[in-house]
Amino acid sequence: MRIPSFVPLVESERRSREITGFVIEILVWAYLALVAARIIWWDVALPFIEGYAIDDVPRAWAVSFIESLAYDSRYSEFSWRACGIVFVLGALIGAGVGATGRGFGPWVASISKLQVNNPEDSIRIREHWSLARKEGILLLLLTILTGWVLTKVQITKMTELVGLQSFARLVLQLACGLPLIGQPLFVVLESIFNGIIALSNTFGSVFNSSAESLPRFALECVPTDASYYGNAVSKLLESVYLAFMATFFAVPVAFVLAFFGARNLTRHSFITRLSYTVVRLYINITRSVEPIIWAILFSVWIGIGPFAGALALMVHSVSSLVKQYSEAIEGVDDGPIEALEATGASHVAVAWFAVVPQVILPYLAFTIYRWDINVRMATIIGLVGGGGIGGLLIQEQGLAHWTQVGTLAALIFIVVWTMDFLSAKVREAIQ
Amino acid sequence: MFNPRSHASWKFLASDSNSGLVDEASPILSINGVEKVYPNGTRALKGVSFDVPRGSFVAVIGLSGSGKSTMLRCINRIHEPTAGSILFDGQEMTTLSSKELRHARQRIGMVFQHFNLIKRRDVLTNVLSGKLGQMAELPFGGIFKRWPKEWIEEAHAALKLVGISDKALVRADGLSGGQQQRVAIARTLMQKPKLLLADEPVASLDPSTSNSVMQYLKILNEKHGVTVVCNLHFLSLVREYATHVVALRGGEKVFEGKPLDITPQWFKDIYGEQAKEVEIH
Repeated sequence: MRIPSFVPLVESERRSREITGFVIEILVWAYLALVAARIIWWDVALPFIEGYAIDDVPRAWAVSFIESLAYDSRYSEFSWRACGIVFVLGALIGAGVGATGRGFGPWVASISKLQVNNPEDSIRIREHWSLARKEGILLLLLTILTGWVLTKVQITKMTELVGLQSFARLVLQLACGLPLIGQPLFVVLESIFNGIIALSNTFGSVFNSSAESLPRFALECVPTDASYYGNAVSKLLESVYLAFMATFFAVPVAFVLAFFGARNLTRHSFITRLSYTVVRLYINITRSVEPIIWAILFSVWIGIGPFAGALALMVHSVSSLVKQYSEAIEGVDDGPIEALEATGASHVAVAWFAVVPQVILPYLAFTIYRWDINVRMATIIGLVGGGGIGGLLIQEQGLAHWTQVGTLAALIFIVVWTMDFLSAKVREAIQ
Repeated sequence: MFNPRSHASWKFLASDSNSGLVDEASPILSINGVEKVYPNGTRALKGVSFDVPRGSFVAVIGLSGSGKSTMLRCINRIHEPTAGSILFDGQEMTTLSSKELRHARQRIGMVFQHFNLIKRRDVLTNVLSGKLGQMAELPFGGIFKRWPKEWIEEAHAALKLVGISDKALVRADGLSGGQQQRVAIARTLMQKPKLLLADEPVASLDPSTSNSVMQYLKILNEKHGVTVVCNLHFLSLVREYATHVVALRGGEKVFEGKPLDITPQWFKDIYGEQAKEVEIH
């Protein structure tokens, strides 16, 4: 597990880095073993062999193999005990590889900012980590494979005619609902789709005379009623204002918390280091609960409506803004901080005079972007009773009023696009 | 070791010491066996000791990385020294509580190589920020308090002293390097310091601006009785302005004496061997 001396490391950390590398190596191999057993063997290889065993003409070797394992893809489960055994086996391999000090773990643990001065050393380092590179590639490939299996990627599904037809019908209905351009767009799209269907029918009958010919679309476009827009726009404005309130009241809270959540301002005493941990813990907890869950919580607390939605967005905005603000604080120039500390100024004064002037521009940009995000989120919040246009959207979708859904989506698009345009202008202006 | 008694004239230059208890002849700053080990294991200072007599202008010389900046920052504990004692005006700095340290820092000015001004604020605010130490005990560090009128007048006077009174309302990042350093000097003037720490104050300035900035430090030293400890790179400036020289190499003191005592042999000891190594890289 020793990392050779020509790999540059801070000497006082060498021991702990070596141990870290060893532990990472064990975990990497345990992961590789688990993936190999659970995904490649259990989810891919075994069902494949089973396929031969239960085929119309069963293969003898497959049947005997499957029976010897008593495997049945419908009932068998990968037990926790098997997990444990595989994990331990992998860990043992990892310990073996880790002991050489050449694997992926020690490599990751040895990464540092230190420079190699001697050209011979850099060649030796390259050779030393050759195994680590191969291990890294193996890790990446197995992870992609796992992802492929777990997301149930099925390319063939994308070309099935029934699915394509339903998709096209829905597109037509949504297009019909677009304000002003809905009807002409509908006509154009319908003729394009019908053209494609006619083509595919012709080809189908040429190659396979028994192929079913697809029916053409014969839908009618009934544009959204003008009176419908009044209600929709007022709901939309509700969403915009809700987003504004959430952003506006989140900013001062986040502004204060950000100072306690920045590493470089919280190093000097135990209390401030504790405050850093507490703030980080708080923002990570509140950020990992999605605003839609917060909206449910608040609508249970104070009742369904825009106020619950605004509170939900505010909680989420505070934690996101604290994260962005405090990272801006961590990036400031230390010089003015040092200079003001040297005058005997208090920590609050140092933060106010040396830090705030440096972060005010990034803060503005982050805040405008947050409002932009909140406007988009406000439409989603409505889905669970947070008020605004989202409630209307989920209602129409539940009733399969696709034309109205198209109208609402277009309205939301107009607002989002306007917000994007405005925030780009403002960010440009304050550069 | 310096012997301040052999330079009686400093007595007259010494600042108006307000505490009668402090012996005028004792060194204003006495550094004893100061060590500094950074968290990454670098030993920046390996037991440095020297005295700074009242009213003197001490130049600290040495190569980059020799520990000059660390030494200066250990004096007002911007960097915490690992071991050793620092006696400033009869007060042990290394054991002060954070509140006492803020009080002590009010009497120690500091200027930096990169000026360290608040770039997006005007010059006047930058100068006034030298007074923040006096507001430290107010709620919220005094950030909600307006600057008193007499402080603003004082700030204008300080700007006049460094010759840029017309720039008071200009944003600090609109000034040239030399002007910014003069603002930084005006800022420390607001502290009415007894001791001024200057960390390579002219290293990022051109030669003629360097000289004018050094002139202002000299005025502070001679007319206002501020003791100056200054990190410098150019021996010509050392010979012209300093009354004492301390040389560091690799975190150790290798020379202490008068500027004129730096013989070619000493120069080789301070810079020579290292310079050869630099050529290899």
